[in-house]
Amino acid sequence: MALDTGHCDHGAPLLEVRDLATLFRTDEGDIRAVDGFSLAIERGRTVALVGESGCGKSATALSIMRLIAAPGRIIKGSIILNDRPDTPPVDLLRLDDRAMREIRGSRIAMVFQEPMTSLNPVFTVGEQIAEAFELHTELRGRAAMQAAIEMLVKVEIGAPQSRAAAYPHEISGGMRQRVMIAMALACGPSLLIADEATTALDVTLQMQVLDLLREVQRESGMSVLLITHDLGVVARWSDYVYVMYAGRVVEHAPVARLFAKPLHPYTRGLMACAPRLGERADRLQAIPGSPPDPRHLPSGCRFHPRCALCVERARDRERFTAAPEHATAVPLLRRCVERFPEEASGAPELRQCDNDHWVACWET
Amino acid sequence: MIARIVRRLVLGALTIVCVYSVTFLMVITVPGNPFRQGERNIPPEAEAALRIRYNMDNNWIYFGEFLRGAVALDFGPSFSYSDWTCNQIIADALPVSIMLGLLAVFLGVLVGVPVGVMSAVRRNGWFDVTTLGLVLLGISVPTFVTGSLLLTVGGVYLGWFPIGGWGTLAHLPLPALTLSLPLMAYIARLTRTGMLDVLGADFIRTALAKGAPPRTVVWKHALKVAFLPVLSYLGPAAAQTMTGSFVVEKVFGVPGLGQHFVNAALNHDPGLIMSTVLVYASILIALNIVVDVLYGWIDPRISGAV
Amino acid sequence: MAPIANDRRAERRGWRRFRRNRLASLSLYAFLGLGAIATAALPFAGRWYDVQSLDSAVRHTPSFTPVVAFDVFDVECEGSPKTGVRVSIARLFHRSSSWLGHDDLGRSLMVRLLMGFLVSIAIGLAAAAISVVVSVPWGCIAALSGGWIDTTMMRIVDVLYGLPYILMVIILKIALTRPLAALLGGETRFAEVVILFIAIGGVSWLTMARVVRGQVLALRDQPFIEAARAAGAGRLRILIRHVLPNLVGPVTVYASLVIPQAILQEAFLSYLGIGVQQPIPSIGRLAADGVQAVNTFVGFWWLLCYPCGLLVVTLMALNFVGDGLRDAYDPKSRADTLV
Repeated sequence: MALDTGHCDHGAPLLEVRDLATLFRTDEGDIRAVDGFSLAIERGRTVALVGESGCGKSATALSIMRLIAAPGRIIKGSIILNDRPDTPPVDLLRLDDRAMREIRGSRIAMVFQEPMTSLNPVFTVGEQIAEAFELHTELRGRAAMQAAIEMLVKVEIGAPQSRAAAYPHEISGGMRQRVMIAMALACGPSLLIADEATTALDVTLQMQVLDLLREVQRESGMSVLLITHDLGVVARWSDYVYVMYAGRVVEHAPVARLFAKPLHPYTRGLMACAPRLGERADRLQAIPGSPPDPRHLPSGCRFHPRCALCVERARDRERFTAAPEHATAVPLLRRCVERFPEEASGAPELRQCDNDHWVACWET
Repeated sequence: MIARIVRRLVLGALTIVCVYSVTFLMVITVPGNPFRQGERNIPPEAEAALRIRYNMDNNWIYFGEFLRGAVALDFGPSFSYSDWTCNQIIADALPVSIMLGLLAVFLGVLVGVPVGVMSAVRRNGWFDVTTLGLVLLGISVPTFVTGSLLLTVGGVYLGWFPIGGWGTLAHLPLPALTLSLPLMAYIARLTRTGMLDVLGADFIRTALAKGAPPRTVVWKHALKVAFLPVLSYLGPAAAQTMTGSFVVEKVFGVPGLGQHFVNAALNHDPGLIMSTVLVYASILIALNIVVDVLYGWIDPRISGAV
Repeated sequence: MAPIANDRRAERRGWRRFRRNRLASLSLYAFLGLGAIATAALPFAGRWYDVQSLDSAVRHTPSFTPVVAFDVFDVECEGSPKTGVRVSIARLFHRSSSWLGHDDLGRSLMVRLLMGFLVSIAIGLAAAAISVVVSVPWGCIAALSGGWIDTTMMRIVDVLYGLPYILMVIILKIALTRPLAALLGGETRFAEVVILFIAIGGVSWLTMARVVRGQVLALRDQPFIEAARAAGAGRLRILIRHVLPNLVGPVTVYASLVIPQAILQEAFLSYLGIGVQQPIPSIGRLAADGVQAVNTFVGFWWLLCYPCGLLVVTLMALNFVGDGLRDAYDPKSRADTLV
């Protein structure tokens, strides 16, 4: 079937991550920041990756860019990029450094969280954008700077000529993030990874920057991997959502479906945390506890120490142990708590429970 | 920028006057008599006459007169080197020291910066560990040992360089190298520390995400920031190196300014003490202003600040 | 700015990190070992460092048989029992006294090195102590007072920086020699050493004063200080309970780096003939003498090699320890890098 369509199989996703694992070796023990992670991004779509801080979202993004820093290493998996009709799909993890550099910034670009520290303080904004052109296009010197100024126009920065000559500390936070976006979009990437791109900005600026990104996406047809912990942003912009917990995807579904019917107890917890407009929030429900220490992950389901279902059952079990004749219910709980031989990883795998809605929980 | 330089110049002039006052105070309170050093023994009447001749009978007048002379770049006579004025001594020795010092600083930067960058990039690798050892060796071995060693090897055994003295180009390399070894070590260490700080910064990740090769990221994006601490170190270091090193001068028999700091103090020669101190302080302050201007030029963030 | 935590745990963690740095801990043990040997030798070396034997040049070379008879020490010990631990230790050192040869006056180089090591370490420690004692109050007062007091105090530091260091040391030395000798009752031999302590310490405190001030300024804006202030803690209480404990780390690190600097500076002064005075040895003095000696008595290699070796080993060990301490206690230097 792929034969007559040439290299590009239009049915295949633009980016497909399969079974990715990233390990950080530290003196205090290994950290499995990403552990058996899979994801697919369709052409022109916006895919959101949500989860609490420390769940491995940023490590995933950096793994896709192959920018994992020294003590960290990608130990397995594949990342297939299939964005060009004229070139065969490539596995990013099998490319040499040089080929990977050609992809970074030109085919996959990234916008980082901290606009304050993500720009080099000793180069002008214009120089930093122009560098992207110099690295990936034929433009050099003056021409590259001209292209950079055009990019500033595109991200709606006023007085682009003089702004291009400004240093990062001379412009506002929102402006800096626009510069970051301009830099990322410079070479027309097919995938933009926005890692908490709006988190550090105040609400009005957030909206402006999001609108700008959506505008650009509509024009260019690029795909976006939106990494955030803000469900409001997810609902507003994305098409599909992956929920991540302790290095693994616990649930993924189209955005409307997920918001309408969250299945995983963790997703439900996240939703309960987000205050909704028009609802009286007397008490914000938070998920009890905090994400597990990545060096000492819980056995079985990684969420079970904080899981409402599981805690409830644990209470039941105490009752059952008092009355052994009801002990049949106990195995259900053991599956969550203990390492279960049926699953290779010892943690629940994703199961399809509805059309395109997958969840990694034994109890739903 | 101009206003800032002017401000710094005025402050610098004030600092020099303070330095002069402190030195003057030390010179007049320290026991010792410039007219009775070693074999020079002159009759009390002649001493009294000389004291009046050089305004030294009254400390206040001497303070004012010497300062007035110094502003006009006339430091008066030296008492320990008879028949020489301080101006002649400085004019003789300072160019030698500046030439040697500049060469040493140049060598120090030329070797220290790349070595520091490379050891930061290959942190804890064999290059870094070897460099760390060499750097500490460079800091730990006194220059009179390295100097003597270089002189013995390069001058005596190999015969490539003259054994001490001054005047030809062949006299330059050994003392300059001796003088530059500790500089190289410090600069390498400062560069390494600075690079390690910078290489973990977010903007380095941004540059990499742009697709820039590591070489560009290290030598362009990171070094421009990491060089700043080296630059601040270079001001005082260059001033010290360029006003002469007593030790290196003694080892190689170089007629530089450094020896005069020591001899003037030991011979209690007030004119020479104060003039050498003034020269040193002026060079230090001038270089600090130069460094400051360069710093502002490299790092636009601090342009507005003092 | 480095994040500053106000707890003991950070200190213990720092110490663990230091211990894991093999080079630094090895240096520390080597240094402590040398110090222990030199201290054990002190009763012997203190009497013997100036014992000369002017027999013949041949006997200056390193050998395994002691050149000078033990009686010399025996005679010195007159009145005290000739047995016991002290005398046995002395015999031990006496037996090895010719291993490293003798100088031109026939003095045992080994004994002089052991003595010189202690003198140099004393100079280093004294310089570090003086710089801490002067710079901590100076930096704290400047930073906490602010305004014109701060400006004036730091301007004074600037001015003192503007003075050439060697000149300051010499002038301090000249100025202090007579009064101090009078104070010590004419014992000029050790007055010289004490003056060196003061002179070298007196110029080493400048950098540390700047470091302390910077640290206090950074601390002043930390949330926990603000919290303490909000809780109504007085200035003095904040200084003692919150600021000073947080200065221990950086001050220790800088003080540990002052020690090798001071030893090296003493070596330079000795080379110029204004360090410790004969017959007191210091490793710098011995190394400097070695350089001269090799020029005059060609072939006296041991006079150059052993003192220089000890000097370099001591300084490197101290620098490694200082570096290790800084790496362990300064979280800034542990940043992970991407490239």
